[in-house]
Amino acid sequence: MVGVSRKELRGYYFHEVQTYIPRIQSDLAVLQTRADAMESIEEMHRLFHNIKGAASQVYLRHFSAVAELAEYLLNRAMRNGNHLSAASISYLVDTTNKIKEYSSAAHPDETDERALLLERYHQFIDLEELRNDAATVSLSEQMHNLLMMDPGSPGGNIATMHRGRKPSGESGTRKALVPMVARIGLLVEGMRTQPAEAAGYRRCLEEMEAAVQQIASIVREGGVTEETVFFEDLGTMVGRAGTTEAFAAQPALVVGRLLSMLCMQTESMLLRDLAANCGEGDGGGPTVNGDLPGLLLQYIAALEGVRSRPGLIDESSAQRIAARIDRCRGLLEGSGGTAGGTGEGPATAEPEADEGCGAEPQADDFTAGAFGDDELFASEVTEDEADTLYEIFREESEEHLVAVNRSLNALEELVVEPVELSAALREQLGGMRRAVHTLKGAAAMVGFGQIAACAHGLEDLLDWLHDRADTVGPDDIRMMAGGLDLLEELSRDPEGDGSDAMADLQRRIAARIDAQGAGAVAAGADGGFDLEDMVFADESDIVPGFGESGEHAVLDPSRVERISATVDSGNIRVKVENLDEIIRIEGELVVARSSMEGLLNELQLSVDELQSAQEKLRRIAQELESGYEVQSLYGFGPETFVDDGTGGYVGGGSDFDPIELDRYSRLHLIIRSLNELAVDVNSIHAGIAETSGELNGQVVKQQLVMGAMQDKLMRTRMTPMSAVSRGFFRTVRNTAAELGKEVRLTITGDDVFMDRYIWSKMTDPIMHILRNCVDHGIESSAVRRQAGKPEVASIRIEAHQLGSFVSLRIADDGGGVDFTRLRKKLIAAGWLGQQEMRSDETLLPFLFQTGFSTRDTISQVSGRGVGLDVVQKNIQELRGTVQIESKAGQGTAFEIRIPITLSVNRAILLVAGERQYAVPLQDIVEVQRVPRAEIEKTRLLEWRNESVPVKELATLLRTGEGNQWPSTSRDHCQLVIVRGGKGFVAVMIDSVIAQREIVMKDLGSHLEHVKGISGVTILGDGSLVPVLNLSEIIEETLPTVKAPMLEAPMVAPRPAKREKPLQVLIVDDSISVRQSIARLIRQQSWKAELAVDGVDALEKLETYQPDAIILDIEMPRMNGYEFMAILRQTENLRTIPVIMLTSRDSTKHRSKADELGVDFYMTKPFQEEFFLQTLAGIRQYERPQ
Amino acid sequence: MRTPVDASSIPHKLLLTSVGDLKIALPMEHIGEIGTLPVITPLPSLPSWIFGIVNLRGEIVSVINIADFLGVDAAYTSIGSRFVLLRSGKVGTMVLIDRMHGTVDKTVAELKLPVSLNFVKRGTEVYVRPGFMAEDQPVHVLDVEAILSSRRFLDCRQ
Repeated sequence: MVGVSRKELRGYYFHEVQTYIPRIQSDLAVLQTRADAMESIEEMHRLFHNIKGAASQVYLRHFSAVAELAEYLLNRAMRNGNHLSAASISYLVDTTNKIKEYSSAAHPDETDERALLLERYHQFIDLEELRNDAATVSLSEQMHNLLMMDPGSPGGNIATMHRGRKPSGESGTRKALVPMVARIGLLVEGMRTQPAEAAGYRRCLEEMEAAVQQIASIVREGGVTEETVFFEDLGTMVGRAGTTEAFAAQPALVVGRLLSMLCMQTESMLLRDLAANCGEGDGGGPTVNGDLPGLLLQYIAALEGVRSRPGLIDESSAQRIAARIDRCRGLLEGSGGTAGGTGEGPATAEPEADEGCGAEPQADDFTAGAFGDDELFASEVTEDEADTLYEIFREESEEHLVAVNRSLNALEELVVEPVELSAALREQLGGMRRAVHTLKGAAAMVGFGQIAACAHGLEDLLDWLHDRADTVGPDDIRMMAGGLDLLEELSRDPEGDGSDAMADLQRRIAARIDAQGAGAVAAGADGGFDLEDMVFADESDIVPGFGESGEHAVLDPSRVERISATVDSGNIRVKVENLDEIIRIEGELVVARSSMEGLLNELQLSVDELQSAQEKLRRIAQELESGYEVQSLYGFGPETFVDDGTGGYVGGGSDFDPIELDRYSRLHLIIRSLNELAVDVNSIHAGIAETSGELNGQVVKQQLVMGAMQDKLMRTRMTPMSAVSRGFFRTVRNTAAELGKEVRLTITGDDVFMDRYIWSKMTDPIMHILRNCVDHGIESSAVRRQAGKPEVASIRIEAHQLGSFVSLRIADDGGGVDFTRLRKKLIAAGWLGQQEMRSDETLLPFLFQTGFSTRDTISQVSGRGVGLDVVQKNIQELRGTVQIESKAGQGTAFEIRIPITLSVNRAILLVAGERQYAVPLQDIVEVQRVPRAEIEKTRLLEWRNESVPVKELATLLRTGEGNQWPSTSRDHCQLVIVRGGKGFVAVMIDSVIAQREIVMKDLGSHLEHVKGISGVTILGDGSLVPVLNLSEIIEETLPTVKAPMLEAPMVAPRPAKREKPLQVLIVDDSISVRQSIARLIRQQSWKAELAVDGVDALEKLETYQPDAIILDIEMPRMNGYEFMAILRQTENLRTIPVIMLTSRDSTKHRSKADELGVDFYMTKPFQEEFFLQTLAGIRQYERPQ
Repeated sequence: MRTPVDASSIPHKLLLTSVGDLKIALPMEHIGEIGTLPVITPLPSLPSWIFGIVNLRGEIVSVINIADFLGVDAAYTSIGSRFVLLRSGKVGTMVLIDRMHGTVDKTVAELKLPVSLNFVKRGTEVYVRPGFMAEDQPVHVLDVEAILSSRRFLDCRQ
């Protein structure tokens, strides 16, 4: 209300009243045919009640009383369940006409207002006398006061009315209120210092409730009835506030708002009395008299107390209080009480010369400035809170905008020409109206005045269409769409300037309604929306139940129920980043579990080894025992001994045959111990094996639970297409309007769900395609007419879910791609040879090339050649594909295929070009193992009655040896079948390692996008495995033509061989040497295979072909020289370079090595750099034959 | 009264390293970490100067061959086994080095040696600041900020 003059306030009020008139007239028309139409009586009662209450708020008390008389009649009819008499209806018709006349007057006069009341009152008394019931009429105290104030005298005014009250009661009220104002001041400041937690705000609410009840009691005793009702209502609201959803989300805001209302009303009440008692000071400003100066001083002292309390308030609060004190002091000194002291505080309204007592407007202005809502709001909401608030609003507005769009889309479908408003259409309009109204309330609640004002304007149109209009046409729909676009825009940027657009919209709406003779919507003085226009709506939406009547209405029970219902709505708003953080943590858990699985596998291997060792131990112990027993039996064994108990042994028992008497030597005992030990080991092994099995079971359980958790988390991120589709309508509308074309967009599959992130990434590409369709595809109306097509062109978006993918088809019914022109452009650009024969279909992918445009001129919409390439890139980054189909004269269609989520749960780990990769399971249609002969010649796989092209992954990734087919599988090839943009493709790999759960990470801050790579996953041992985007990899590569404006990247040609990791066989009997060399090699991303001696190495070489062998000399079973002799004589191994790495440095050893064909000789300890350099160049090394 | 400080006289700390025969100095303020190279995972479709990526305690970092990036003749380069993690803003990368000689303090005034086109390829001299002589050898000072924010570095699709 800051900065709004009384005149302006009344202007807004009359605007509001005029919106009620058509509805009242409509109800009266019903009553004239059916006098007991209770729903009409009820609606009229509500509307007159609103007129009465709001009039009181803007100081039109006589006008308020006029409405009250009408309300009285209607209330009685409702209470008694009676029908209205013809005379009563006639009275109401007259009242309605007079209210309409008065409210539409250019400058309504207060004298006319009083005259209107007297006229209506006399008519009312006549009416009641007709009923012989005048004595029972019970009107409000205000009405009595007004009627008792010498009705014949035109000089009466509001100040007189106030002075007419009982002085003792008012004075007593004022005295009691001053400390309450101070208490509220303390509450305000106290709230700022409360801990930022719900409990602190709850304490504040409790204190506020107590204060409100006390104030209500004071004003009740003082006989100020309307304020009593207000404070009682406020008390109820404060009592309930702590249980609302709004409080749970933004406690500071809710408490601040309530406190603001409390402050405003209390100080307003106090200062209104002050104004009523003021006189003209020496300086021409208002002064105070009576006991008020003392009370003001008390108030100032209270504020001073707050300000001086150390630690209670911050600097900015202290400044605001200082400004308030200045104003109070100014008032006391007759200086006008302006806020000039600190320059803080909102602007005050200009005093109005024609408004009765000069002091009164000052008092009102003071009220607005002292505890102005905006001032308090600004001080309560920090920047962070404002951001949070905006986020909450944005989320909420999304829902409403979706609902509005849904209705608008339905209307667009139904209304292609002006049609009569059927019940179905009215239902759609009603749905839109409800959503717009709620959006308006939400915007007003969070202080987004522009949005609220815009929604208000749109609501006017919808009200009129729903309640009054007979027909609705495409122009109306466009107007709604325009309003909706503006709402969308403002919702995205509430601080943006939408005033011009709003004024334009309002003009159009007013013109439309005026053209139909309704004239129901009264614009503000300047014909546009004013933010202050929303004052009434704001308050009604800020606190349910308040402000609807304007006269401190009692809380509407239905709204109270709604508040209560929201306490347990079952929904909670969560920030997306919080959700992502949970998903990230869950991903870490998966990695940790994966690591545990790896350890368990190792444990299982150890258990198996233990079992094998235990078996061996048991067997040896048994052999030893039985062998020794036999030897002892036949006397071949050594002399038997028995322990003599002193540590020595004596012979004995020679009188007995061994069969007759067991003889125990020390060896016997050792053997026995060994046997027992074998039994113990067996028992330990069984125990460990059992524990290992149980651990495995637990891990499997974890897998299941975490899989379910991942699935749930993924679903929480899913949103339907309707969340983004309204932007598509806007794009089509705006582009079509810009180009002067008539285009209708139809969407099916609005309820198809995808990950929120994917939708956000897909929005721009889809909008770009839509703009392209409108600009390039759709012909002008004249051309369409000539072609026999409907003048209104059509674009359809169809979404379908196909398993883990969503298919989006965007098709227009335009002219299609001009292939002749496309071909010429491609030839001119040098992308196509002059004589090159290509089918039309194969030219279409060129449209995705960077820098290519079929347009000769650049417009705002298109023609720059930047667009479809970005569309394709964005889609590919999402592991999706896009294709174009086009038929001359029939239109163009974009077929997009996109995964519903980027969160990859399961993937196949595979090997290609001797490197490991992961491929998300949802990207794979099937894995096949086929005989090599079947596909080797044709490079085609016959699969599901189709000939599917076979492509080798290593070649596609440039990690293999060109087109050489994998040699790891001699007879069979492993194929992964995936769906590409143009159908299925069989991708040949070396082998599949496993299927497992993975967590995908991005490629870090440097490599944001690498072609064909979606991300990377970390295995349990910490190693990285690239996650492939096979759709992108298998896309046909077009001739690369660099756009002239792009800097030619300096990319050195990469030798194909470098891509393949070096394979090194390390042969050494020392585990330390083997491991240290292996580590060094693996650090270079090369591969290392280990062998413990020459025999082991030869075994490995049967199935393995390394690029180099690192060989020791001295090893058990087969030393290095012996190994070399065999190696150089074996046909397929003789060319492998060998680096002999030994501690022997003599000439003799070197000569022997040279003689046997060792290529490099290095001694331990070796220089790492030299060693690595040697290995790095080993592939280029050509060993002498 | 305080006299204004001449900016060119403020010493800058540099890490002196070798990559093959090339002496490179790296501004300390851009060095995030120095260590032994973890296992590199190569990625396809990247320029030759990117070795791949590594997992540095959960963070994925690219590994580059700075000599290759600068277009230095292969004869002067080698594959290092140690890394220096360079950061500028939010972007980070690992540079492989062969040896680390220590740190030196140099003022701007002392960095006079013009960039030798004998070492770097024409077009990449913008990534190297004027250097200095150490042990009769030219030392090139890398402009880490320029490298890590360059289009050549960031738009590295092949």
